[in-house]
Amino acid sequence: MKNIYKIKFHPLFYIVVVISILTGHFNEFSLFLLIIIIHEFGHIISGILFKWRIKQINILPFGAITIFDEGLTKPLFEEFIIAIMGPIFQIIVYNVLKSNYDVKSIHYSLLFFNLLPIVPLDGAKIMNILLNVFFPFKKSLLLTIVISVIWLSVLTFLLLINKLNLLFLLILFFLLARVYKELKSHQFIVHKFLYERFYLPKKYRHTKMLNGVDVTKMYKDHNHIFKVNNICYTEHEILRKMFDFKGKL
Amino acid sequence: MFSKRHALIFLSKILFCTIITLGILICIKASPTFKTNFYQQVFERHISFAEINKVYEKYAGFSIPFKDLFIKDVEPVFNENLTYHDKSKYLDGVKLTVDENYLVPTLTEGLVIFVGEKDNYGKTVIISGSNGIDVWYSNLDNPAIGLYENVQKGDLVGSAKDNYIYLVFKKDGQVLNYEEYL
Repeated sequence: MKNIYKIKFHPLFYIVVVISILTGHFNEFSLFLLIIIIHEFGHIISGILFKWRIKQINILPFGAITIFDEGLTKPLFEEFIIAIMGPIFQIIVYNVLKSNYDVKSIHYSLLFFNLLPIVPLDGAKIMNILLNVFFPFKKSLLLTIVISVIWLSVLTFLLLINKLNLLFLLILFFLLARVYKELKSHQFIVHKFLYERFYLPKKYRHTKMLNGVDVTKMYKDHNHIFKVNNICYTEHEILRKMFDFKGKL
Repeated sequence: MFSKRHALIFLSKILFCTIITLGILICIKASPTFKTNFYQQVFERHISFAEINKVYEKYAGFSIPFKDLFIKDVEPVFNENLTYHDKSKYLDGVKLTVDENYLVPTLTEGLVIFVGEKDNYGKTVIISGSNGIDVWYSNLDNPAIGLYENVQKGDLVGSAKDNYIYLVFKKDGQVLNYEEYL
């Protein structure tokens, strides 16, 4: 139970709690919190099953995000199961609870919102994993960001044509900030991926042959052989030019 | 473990609470006006959640994220106006003669703050309305709503026992004239 210290509440969360108490909706807010915790529990249980380390569980005013401490080179299968277990666990527990608690709209709305492909949400994670099966790491990262921006605009439009809601505005700002941050730091993320590939090499089941020396064409979950002028180089040799300084720094 | 300092702080807190309690009890015994004022402040006044909710929803929309966003919860199946045959004064409120086992609807929207038995009134549901006025729906057979649920105007409160119900209108513990609110 020492993991309990990893749960962190965002400051805005406390404000939303106070607002929900003062407006007399404490009952509904606790149900909302319950659904969020159940959802995160799905992620946490599957993470523990795969022996991933949990870094932090951030509880925001409109949802929660589990941050694992495992880097960018974990197998795609494990990532997929962990990402999908959140919604699935939520669905299973909802079907058990629905006869006793009035959570229909909260559950379905949360499910639908979470599966939207906008960056910190589960939908974007799952889509990113699927893209990584077909495209190189950098390309799928950029595609995820582009799709996030498109869907974020759709969501903004949908929510602005309805009556003004303070909480939705909060959610939109949060998502916008995260998508922007991801866009600004995508170079850094690609670099971090290559760094982990060099310093923590793993053996994967499949191998890909790449022409040229462009490391940004590397795939997740594959070993690579680079072919330059009919000579084949391993991944490690090519990456060494980027990372191995040998005292020349 | 507990140091002497912790024990002293704890004892002084207990002493402080005892002093306040005994002081208030003495004042209640000594002065009847203090007693009525004190009881009214402590037992009758409450934060008017429904009023705050109304103001909040006017400017900032619903306070729970995602509720009623893409799909709605239970659709209202009961939406009636309160009709009665006869009315007469009863204690703090009014006695309304209605049909046998009449399904009582709410008069205003608000938050349910009490479900239980009240002396001389029977099974009661108190709803705190968004205009700051508490309405008691008494002599019910079976309350159909739970504590701290939000209700809309015209929602079902419960079925009347026999053929009459009592209504009491109060604001901050002061009984109001039922004629103005019926």
